[in-house]
Amino acid sequence: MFWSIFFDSLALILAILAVGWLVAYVVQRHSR
Amino acid sequence: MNAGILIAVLVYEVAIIFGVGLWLARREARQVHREGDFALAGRSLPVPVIAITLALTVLGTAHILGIFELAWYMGAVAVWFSIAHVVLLVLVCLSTGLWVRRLGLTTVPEILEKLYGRVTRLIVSCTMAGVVFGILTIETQGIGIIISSMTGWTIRNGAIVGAILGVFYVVLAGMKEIGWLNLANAIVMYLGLILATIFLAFRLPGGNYDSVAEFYTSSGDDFMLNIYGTPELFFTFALGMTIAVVFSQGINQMLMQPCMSADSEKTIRKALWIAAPLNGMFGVFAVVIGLTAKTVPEFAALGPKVAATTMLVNYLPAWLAALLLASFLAAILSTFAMTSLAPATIFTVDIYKNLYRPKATEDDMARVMRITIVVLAVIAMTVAAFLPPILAAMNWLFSWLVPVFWVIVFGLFWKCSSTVAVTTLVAAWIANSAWSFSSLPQVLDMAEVPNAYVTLGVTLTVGVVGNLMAAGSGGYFNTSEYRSLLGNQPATADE
Repeated sequence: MFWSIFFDSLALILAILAVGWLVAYVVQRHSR
Repeated sequence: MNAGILIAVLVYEVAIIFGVGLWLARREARQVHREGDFALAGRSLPVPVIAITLALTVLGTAHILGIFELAWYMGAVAVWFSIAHVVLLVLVCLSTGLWVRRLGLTTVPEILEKLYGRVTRLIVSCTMAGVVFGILTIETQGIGIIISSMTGWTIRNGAIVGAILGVFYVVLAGMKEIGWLNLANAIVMYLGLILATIFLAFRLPGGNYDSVAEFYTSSGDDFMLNIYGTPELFFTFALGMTIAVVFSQGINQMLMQPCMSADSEKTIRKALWIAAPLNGMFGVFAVVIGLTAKTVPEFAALGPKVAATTMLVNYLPAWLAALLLASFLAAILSTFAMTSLAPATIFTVDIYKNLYRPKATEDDMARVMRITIVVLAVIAMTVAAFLPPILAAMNWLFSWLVPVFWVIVFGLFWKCSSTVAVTTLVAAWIANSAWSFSSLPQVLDMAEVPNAYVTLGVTLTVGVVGNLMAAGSGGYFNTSEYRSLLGNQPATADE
């Protein structure tokens, strides 16, 4: 129970970070 | 709880606060003063300090007491309270935080003067300082509740002791003190949480959390073990919470001030990778503790508000319960410190210096900030004693900042019309207060809709329609002033 909540949340957090970083990267490239 | 261990917790807090605070204050006294030393740590803070300060600033009473209670009602989907803050930190570290650092601001209202003029700056100064002060009163109450639940003292006495510690968390050396104390306390916090989770498992049948899973599965509530919950919970709670947190906190002074204190923009970008997991994973531990408390009949009988904290005090060894108390206290104290420094900075820069003493020196301003912090803390202690309802107060308070976020975004990227800006702000604020204090939500049969949705709807409608119709200069990011500012940035600014 603990580990499934732990890893599901960790994966979600990493996915949000990856998407955020990608969006910021694309916006920055586009604005140059 | 054992009185000796409680004393140990308080001695730890006092020792670390005065140790770090006085060491920094003495070091500062020997150094040449730089711009914004007290409020912005001389814009010199490195990645670990910025990361942990961002994570702990938005990790306070609601994260601890709120998630325990939410997990009881809706299960693991309550972790989205933390996940919403991960999204918020992405927004702050990759956009708003970078903008305020790049523009060399000390307070968020300063940017409103650049975009819309002095009147808008003053209106937003008063509102933002008021909102952050409101959060301070809630944090003061939270400190009182936690100390009270662990000691048996009254909430008011707990709040007084907590507020005194909170004042010393910031008043000795300002932002630099908050930053370095947070770094030390974050280590204690995670150590306490990890050990508590392990020891809690040992007290359960089989020495692990299988019995907790079994409890929910056998009662047909499997969804309570899933962080995405049911489709209905996901759309109403998880997404709703994310929208409310992101747009109300995205430009709040209490999160922007650490970003303004960073030594470069690159530091803020890097800090995200530590701050987001640190804040987000806290929710996992809180959810597991909340879910577990409901499965043990003797604690379940106590109800959602106190089941989890009572279980921790009863199930954990006394030294670990004390460590956990210290970690919860540290998390709330860090929020208390930042929520008292932020309105004190706005008052000093936007009101005192801007209106009354344009020639105020760094020392004058640090003195005014210190006095303001103490005055705000005393008022917060008094208000906290009346115990305003935490979640309803948060819902109303945070929504005041939703239009501020969008008015700044419109002004930076699209159009600067002060008439539209002020109209948008006032319309959204009236809607927010009407939603909380009149029977309008019941009349419209929309009582379940949170204030953040209403203010977001009004802000976007009035702001977009107004800007389409009104004349006004173009967005600030398209001006020659901004381009020349970019040209003068040092290489470390990473742009």
